[in-house]
Amino acid sequence: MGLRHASGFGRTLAKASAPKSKSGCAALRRFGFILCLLSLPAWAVLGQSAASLKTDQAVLHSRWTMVRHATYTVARLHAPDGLSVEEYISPAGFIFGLQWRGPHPPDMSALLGAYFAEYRHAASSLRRHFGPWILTTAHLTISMSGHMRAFRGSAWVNALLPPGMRLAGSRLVRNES
Amino acid sequence: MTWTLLAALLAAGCSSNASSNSASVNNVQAIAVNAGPAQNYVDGAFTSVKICAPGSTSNCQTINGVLVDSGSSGLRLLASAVSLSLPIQAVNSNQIGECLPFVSFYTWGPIETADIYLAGEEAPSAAVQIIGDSTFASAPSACTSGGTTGISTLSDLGANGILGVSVFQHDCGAGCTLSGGSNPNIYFSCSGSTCTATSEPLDSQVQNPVGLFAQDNNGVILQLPTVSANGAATVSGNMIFGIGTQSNNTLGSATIFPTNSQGDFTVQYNGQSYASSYIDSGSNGIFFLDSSTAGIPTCPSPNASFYCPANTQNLTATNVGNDGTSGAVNFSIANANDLFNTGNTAFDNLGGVNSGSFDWGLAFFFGRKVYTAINGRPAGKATGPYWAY
Repeated sequence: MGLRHASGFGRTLAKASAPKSKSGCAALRRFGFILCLLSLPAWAVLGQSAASLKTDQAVLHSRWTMVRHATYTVARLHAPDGLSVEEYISPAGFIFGLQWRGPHPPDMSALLGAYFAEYRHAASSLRRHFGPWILTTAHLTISMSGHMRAFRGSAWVNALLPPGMRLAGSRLVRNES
Repeated sequence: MTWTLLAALLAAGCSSNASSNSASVNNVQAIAVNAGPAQNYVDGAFTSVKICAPGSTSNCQTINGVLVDSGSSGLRLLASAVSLSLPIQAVNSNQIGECLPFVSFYTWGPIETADIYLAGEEAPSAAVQIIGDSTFASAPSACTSGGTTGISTLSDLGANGILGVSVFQHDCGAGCTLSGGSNPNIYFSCSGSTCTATSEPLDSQVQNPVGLFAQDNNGVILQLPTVSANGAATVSGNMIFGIGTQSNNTLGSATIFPTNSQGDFTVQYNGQSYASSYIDSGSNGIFFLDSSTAGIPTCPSPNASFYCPANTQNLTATNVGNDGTSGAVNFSIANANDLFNTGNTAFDNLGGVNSGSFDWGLAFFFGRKVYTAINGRPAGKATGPYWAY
């Protein structure tokens, strides 16, 4: 189901997803060869969007570092302008969400791909509302909070959350919590 | 010689007065909570701002319906509200534009220069952003790619402008003085219709006008009366300039909550700590946590980011300043749709979602005097950035 979704609309986030194994390993070297090996198969399965994390690196002027959790891997990037982005990669190799924080939003059109239109439409739907928001759309749960100089936000593909995980508002939590 | 000495002493006394105790300057600016100039706002505090062409005392305009925002810095005005012709900021004949993100929109437009008058205070030659100027270059992709909506009309903003009086003096700060990848894409250099990110010196950035005053320049107090559980149609209050500079702006018994360098503090609720929390008069409710964490249902679309409990919830949270100072806050959250249906505009119990943090918006300000002290400025017994109430 996740695969089918990803091959359709899901491809959009996947567009901003996995790098070629070579660049993935380059990004992972500082975290060790074993971590790199563990992470590679997922990206190999994904097969496409080879340049996407690499593209994000170019857009954001920084490099990804990887942290592996029990049911997903987080690719984390700190840009020199103070923006930080985390992309959440499922065991199946799909980027299923992202969180960011910094003085301005990241290039969401690059990070969301075809989901960007859905994001932008939802973000323009707020009425009588001036403040933080969490919105659920056809495919996404998206949020933004903060104030001048210190913003943060997130976007999750609801259908691609890994098993055992759910969203509390816009936060990723374990099912039992 | 005696007269000369006396004159010198008097002059010294006067300048000392001007910086610390300027009893002769009117520092009280009226504010009002109402539906605003688009007749569609709830929990927004509005004021009137007089602007003049730099150095002129006659080429001036007073603009009403400007939202008072303690979460941003600087004056931003809709082009549709400004009839005055103001000089545009330019570098090497390239015009300077700005893309400033807010949490639910962004503002795009040229930076112009004006003298700003508030009560008896003046911010001379201040950088002002003009929003929605159709004669200026359109927003570049580096601005629109953030995904929120660009404000360009009165019906979008619900106000004729935004008067930012936050804990920060500059709207961007040191980051915008850098170039290349370290530049956060907030200021742009525009040649014709093409705009590219540029570095902007601190002095040229849009600034909190209060910090540009000759006196009463270390912060601001927003003061609003209490409202009943069903709200009020309109409410009048005051914006008082300066903290501890005149007899009407002393801290008194207010508790000081220093912010961190991001302009945030921590809120504790139900045994959990939520960093990245803040006080912001420009947010129109109390935005906190999410529906499942707070145990409060949200409203149906299009108000899904507001809370709609069946019965009003009475809650307690604890604000914790960056130095550990703490204080409990009792607050109530009513059904937002029920509140909107009253037709009133001023509510102390309007709430909404904000995963993982608290945003004490205008609803928090009723029945309080909330002090906002500017970063690095001594203000009473402490130095900004801090909030006190």
